[in-house]
Parts: sequence; C-alpha cells; structure tokens
Amino acid sequence: MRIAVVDDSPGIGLVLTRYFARLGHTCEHVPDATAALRMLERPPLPDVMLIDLMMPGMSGADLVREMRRRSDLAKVPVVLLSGYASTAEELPPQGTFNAVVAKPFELEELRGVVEGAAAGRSALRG
Amino acid sequence: MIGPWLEAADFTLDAEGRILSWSRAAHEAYGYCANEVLGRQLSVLYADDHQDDAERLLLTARRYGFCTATVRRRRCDGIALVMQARVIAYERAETSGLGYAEIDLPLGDEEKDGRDAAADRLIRLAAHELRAPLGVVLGALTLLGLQLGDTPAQGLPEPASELLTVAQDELRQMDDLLGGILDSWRTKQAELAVHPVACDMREIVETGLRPLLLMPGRVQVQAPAWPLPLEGDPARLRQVVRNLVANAVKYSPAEAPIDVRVDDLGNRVRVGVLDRGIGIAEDDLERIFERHYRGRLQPQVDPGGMGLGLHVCRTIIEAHGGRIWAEQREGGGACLRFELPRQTGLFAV
Repeated sequence: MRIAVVDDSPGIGLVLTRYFARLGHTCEHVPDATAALRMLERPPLPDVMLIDLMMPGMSGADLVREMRRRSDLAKVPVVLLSGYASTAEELPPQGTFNAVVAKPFELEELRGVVEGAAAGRSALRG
Repeated sequence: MIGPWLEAADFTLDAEGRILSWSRAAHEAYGYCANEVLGRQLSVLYADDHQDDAERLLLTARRYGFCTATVRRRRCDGIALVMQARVIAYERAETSGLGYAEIDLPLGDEEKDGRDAAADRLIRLAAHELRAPLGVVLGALTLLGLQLGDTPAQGLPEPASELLTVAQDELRQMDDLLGGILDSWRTKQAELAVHPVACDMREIVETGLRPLLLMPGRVQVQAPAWPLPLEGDPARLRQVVRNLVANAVKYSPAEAPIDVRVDDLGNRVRVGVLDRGIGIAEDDLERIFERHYRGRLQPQVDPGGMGLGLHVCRTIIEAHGGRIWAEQREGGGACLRFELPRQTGLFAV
C-alpha cells in the first residue's frame, strides 16, 4: 500500500515513515500542503493520505477541500491527524475525510484506522 | 420559585436565620441538596472567614424590610461564589413570626474571570505543546521496541528492553495527565468533540484496558462472542472504559476483582464496570458525574486526580447520544454503566 504523510513535524514524519515501511508499505513524508499537492502531481496516487490539520501555510482542512475539488483526487482516502481533537481546530466538511485520529496516538491504533480507510471502511460518503 | 428571576437561586429562612425552603436553582447554585441544608443556619453558605456576614445581611434586611448586597459565598465543594443577594423580611403567615426570602444571582468577578481565562489559555497551550513531542517520543520508542524484537540476536539485553517498557509506560502516564488537563479545559468550554467512525465495542473495551497495567486476572471481561459494531469515536470510547475501570481501581481494595460486562441489547450496546469497593452514597449517584465533584465515601488514602474522570465520561457518552449512570451494586460496591445507540447500517463495513 502507498501511504503519504503530510505533517510539519519531522519527528512524526520519521516515525510514521519507518513504521509503515516496517509493515511492508511504501510511505512518503512531505512537510506541508504545497509539497503534498506537488507530490500528488506524480502518479501513482497514494492509497491513503495522513494529513495534519494544523500546519503553517495552507491548513490540512484546506488541503482536503482542494483535493475534493479536483476530480482526479476526489476519492483518495484521507485520515486527519489532530493535535487538539476539538472544535478549536477547523475540520473540512463531514463526508470529505475518512477518520480523525487525535495526537498523540498509539502506532498500532493508527495502523488500524489507516487500513480501514484504505479498505473504504469509513465515514467517507458520497 | 419566588420572584421573577427564573435562574436565580432562592430559599427562605426563619427569624433565626435557619433555612426553611430550598429550591432546585439553589441546589444547582450551591451544590447542596435540600436535605443537607434545611434547618441549618445561613452561615453554612459562607466561607469560615465570612461567617459574620450572614448575621449582618439578615440584620439589615430586618431593619429596612429589604436589602441588596454583594456576598461572598461558598459552594458545598468549597468553590468560592460571588452572588448578588436580595433579601426580603416578611411576616410568615403560618407562624405570624418573622421570615426572610432570599434570591441570589451569580455575579461574575471580572478581575478573577480574566485571570482564570489567562491561566486556562496558558495551561491549554502548555498541555498541547508538551503533548506533541511526547507523542513523537512515544512513537519512536514503540518503533525501537519493535525493531529490537526483529533482531533479537543484535538487540539490547533483557534489562534494556525492560527500561524501554518503563519509559513508554511513564510517557503514557504523562500523556494521560496532560490529556486530563486538556479535557478539563474542553469540558468547561463545551469543546470536547467526538469524531465517529465505524468501530466495534468489544474491541474498544479490550484495547481500552490494555494501558492500565493491571494485575493479570484483576479485571474479568464478559462480552458476547460476536462483534458489536457501532458508530463512535474509538479513542474517546476507550478513554471512557479506561476512566471507569481506573475509577473502580481507585475505590476498591488492592486485590478486589473488577467485572466489565458488555451486553448486546439489539439496537443498543451496554457496558458496565462493577467493583467491590467502598461504593457510592445514594445521594451521590447522580452527582459523581459533576465536574470536580468527589463522592462522600472516600478511601482512607487520597486517591488523587482532579475529580474529572466521570465528568469527562458523561460528556463523551452524551456526545454519542448515549447515557451513563451509577448504581449501588448488590452485595456492596459500585456499578457504573453506559449505553450507546448502535446505528448500524450507516457504514459499508
């Protein structure tokens, strides 16, 4: 499975890349939304994207909105990573993402959510 | 209710200043039930260093027939309150003696509110900013542990992997503490959000108990043999299970068994945590879910904590459209249960 991690924390990037690689997946980390959109220009598309909500520049919510606006990216499963897990952080509209995982998370727990999202077992509607 | 202030706390007093009647609003404002204050002096509502204020207030009302005053009072849980009290002296029809009717409106203390808000912001920021690197460290240690397991021949010797486990456990405890501080802030701001996805209640109970590091066999889980799919926030629901079991541990003797029962009720799922601890006083069955409230029955050793666990549980369960309640357990001990709607069929599982 191809997994993309969009997070401005190099630590999260490193840990997740190594963890998913260990599970036999291909995992790429980019530090912001602009780099993510650039990465999405190059096929193949990831099977799941993990997107941090709070990032400098374009927020995670805006990145999801932009992806859903584009027909080629509309169906890429998205798992949001939330630092606050509260309404203080702006979420994209319901139905445009598969799950939200609150930081800090247990790796095993994240794995389950990522696999579920890739299999389409999610709150993604329409 | 007396008077036009529907949200005001109201009560009446006899000529000696003893409380004669106590409204629901007064209960909510001061935290005392009627049976705890009826017949007691007005001074019960004051902090120890303001006891004389009660007498002065009634004296002024008696002299002028009516008085309005800003009073500094104390809730039953010790929290300070600033109230605007209006007191009317009147002749009681039933005894022809003097009586008082008091109506209190809570007043904001602007300076204090400002300080509280600044402190809240600081605590929230600190908790959040500390949690992010903590998550990275925890993740890195977990990964390190996994990698060591991959290559046992080159891996660290036994004591080193033990140290790794200790470091992870301690980090999880720090994270729980910071999470508690953030949740305290969120419940106060009605900001505790849930993000529902398709999940399985049996799995939530099982994984929720894992970080508690309890003695093997201390918690006995009885659950159906089939999955219990529902729409919920798995991390938040695990937190509820963990809080309820941690609560049972706090209020039980060291080796007393704790039973966790998961029941399939068709369109609902019910989870119960039953202990053989000191139990819950009848009057506390509802109040233990209030913020910062501590039950009357307390173990000899202070169990610590912020009195938030059950309040957070209630907030989470209600956000899922469920309900949570406490019962006294037959044969001694406490029983905390929650029920959640299943809402199956919403997901392509």
